[in-house]
Amino acid sequence: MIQIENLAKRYGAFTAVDDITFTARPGRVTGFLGPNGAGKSTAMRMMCGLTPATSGTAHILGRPYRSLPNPTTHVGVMLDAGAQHAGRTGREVLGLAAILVGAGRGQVDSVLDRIGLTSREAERRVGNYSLGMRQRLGLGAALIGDPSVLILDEPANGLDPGGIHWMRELLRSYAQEGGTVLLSSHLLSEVEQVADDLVLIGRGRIVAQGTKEELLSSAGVVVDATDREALHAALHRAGFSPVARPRGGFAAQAGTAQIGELALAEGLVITNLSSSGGGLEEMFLTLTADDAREVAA
Amino acid sequence: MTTQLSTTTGAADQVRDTTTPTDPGGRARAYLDDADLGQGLPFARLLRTELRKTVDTRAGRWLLIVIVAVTALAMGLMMWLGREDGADYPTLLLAAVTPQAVLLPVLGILTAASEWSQRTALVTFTQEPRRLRVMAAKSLAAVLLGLVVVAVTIVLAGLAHVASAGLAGGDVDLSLPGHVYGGVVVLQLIYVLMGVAFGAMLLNVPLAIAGFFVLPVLVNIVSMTVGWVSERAAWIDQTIAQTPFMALDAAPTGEQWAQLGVTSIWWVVVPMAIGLWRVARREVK
Ligand SMILES: Nc1ncnc2c1ncn2[C@@H]1O[C@H](COP(=O)(O)OP(=O)(O)O)[C@@H](O)[C@H]1O
Ligand SMILES: [Mg+2]
Repeated sequence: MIQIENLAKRYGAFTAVDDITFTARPGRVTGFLGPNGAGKSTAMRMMCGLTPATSGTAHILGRPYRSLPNPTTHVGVMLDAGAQHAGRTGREVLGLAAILVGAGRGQVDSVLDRIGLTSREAERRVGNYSLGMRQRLGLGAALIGDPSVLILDEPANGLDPGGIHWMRELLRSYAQEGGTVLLSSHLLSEVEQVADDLVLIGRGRIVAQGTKEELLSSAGVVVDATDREALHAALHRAGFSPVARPRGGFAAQAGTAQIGELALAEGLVITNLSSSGGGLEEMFLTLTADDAREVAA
Repeated sequence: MTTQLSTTTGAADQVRDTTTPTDPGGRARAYLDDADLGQGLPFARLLRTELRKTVDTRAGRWLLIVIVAVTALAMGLMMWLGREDGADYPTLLLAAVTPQAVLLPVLGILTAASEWSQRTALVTFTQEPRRLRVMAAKSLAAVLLGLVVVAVTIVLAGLAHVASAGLAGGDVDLSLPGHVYGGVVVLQLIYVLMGVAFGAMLLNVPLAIAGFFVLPVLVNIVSMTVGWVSERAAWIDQTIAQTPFMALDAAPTGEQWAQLGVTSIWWVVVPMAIGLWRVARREVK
């Protein structure tokens, strides 16, 4: 399990990660989704103790990363597939990772098998690898300690459709075995099919999170009321799965008429009610568009 | 949380050995119990990987090849110059030690700085977040390699002397004052550690190499031109403090040892302290 609480990172006056809180649970794949520059990589580096957090905490398996003894036996990490010495062979990269987790030579072979690198490819220098091959190698190095948590930054980058399918299957079965998987992406389509839970981040802030089903429901509405607590309780009782929105109000899985009836029955004063339209896709596009506007301005 | 863990049996939770890696639910873990923590990363493993990293890249391997080639070249030259009477053992040894003193520090620099240039620091400090432990392993790895080079050089110088004396029909004389061995080992180790220190301080290979070679020259120039410095040069300029340690005739005095120690503070300890401080604090990305 990965627990992030009020994690923030400021570079001077610029806030790269702004008070994010979420949990990635065992047995589930959590997609960490946001446009370029949203703060995903910074947040993941903070989880692994590589970037000091300005404030907040990140716990993995109940502990800060730095206090895990021999962390790669518990957590498989791939933050940047390009961060490999170009002059080392793929096999050597895995060999070094294997020594540190106390795995044998056989483990290297079985990981090579699992990531689909032939032994001839494994003898080549990483400098000659395509981005997709580096992603596979990085994933292999993360898997070699047989960890129970995986933290992967944009692992699908550079993979061909076959590779994306392969990765999806691998992460899916990993979570089915009870593992915790956190993977980031800037493409909704990459994580949509594999993730159980989604955390959407834009400009450092979490803008939405929940199970994929909650977030993908296209028939949802956005609703707010003067008494938010009562509204939340009412939505919950009615089975409309309310999700709190960062700027107030809730996203709920219901039609506008259903909400109107609920408000009447519960005596709620509705201050805002609109159908949210395209659901996750729309939310994601809005996020991206916001950033684009910012750049254009 | 409990609902998500419901597939996990108590027994499966304990199983983490490689015999049943795909046990369903075997990875389901929300928190690490003390029993699951396992041992920390043993220093020996860290040292083994750091030693391997110095020789498993093209840059590292080439550096070792160049060290061997330069050693052979220096000794070959001495053998040729002494072809009439046979080359002396001390001459052969010191001929190889001087170019090595230039190349061994590069080994130290590469060990400490190349991971930041190649960005593998991202991987290394994920594997062992206790960064100073990694630096200790790197320093020790560089020192061990330096010692191996010195030992091999001593053996080669002996063999070269025997061969040279045999060819010239001269006497074989392998005697050498003990302080010369001590001086060679101490000086080469200081250079290796100085390389590590400069690498850690600048965290950039070309910059560290430039700094390593330019700074002593600058200080040397200052010590020759500025009166206050030149009066105390043996306490400031390490090239001067080291000279007595290569002399064959007399062992270094206590004061000369003190001078070597004091200059090592300026050239090794201070840069190393700055380097370790930087490595410990720097954001890895
Ligand atoms: N050292 C730094 N100094 C200033 N800004 C930084 C620094 N590192 C990252 N950033 C900024 O933080 C933001 C988040 O970056 P990043 O975490 O890489 O985003 P993502 O991985 O989601 O694309 C970006 O706008 C980036 O420019
Ligand atoms: Mg990123």
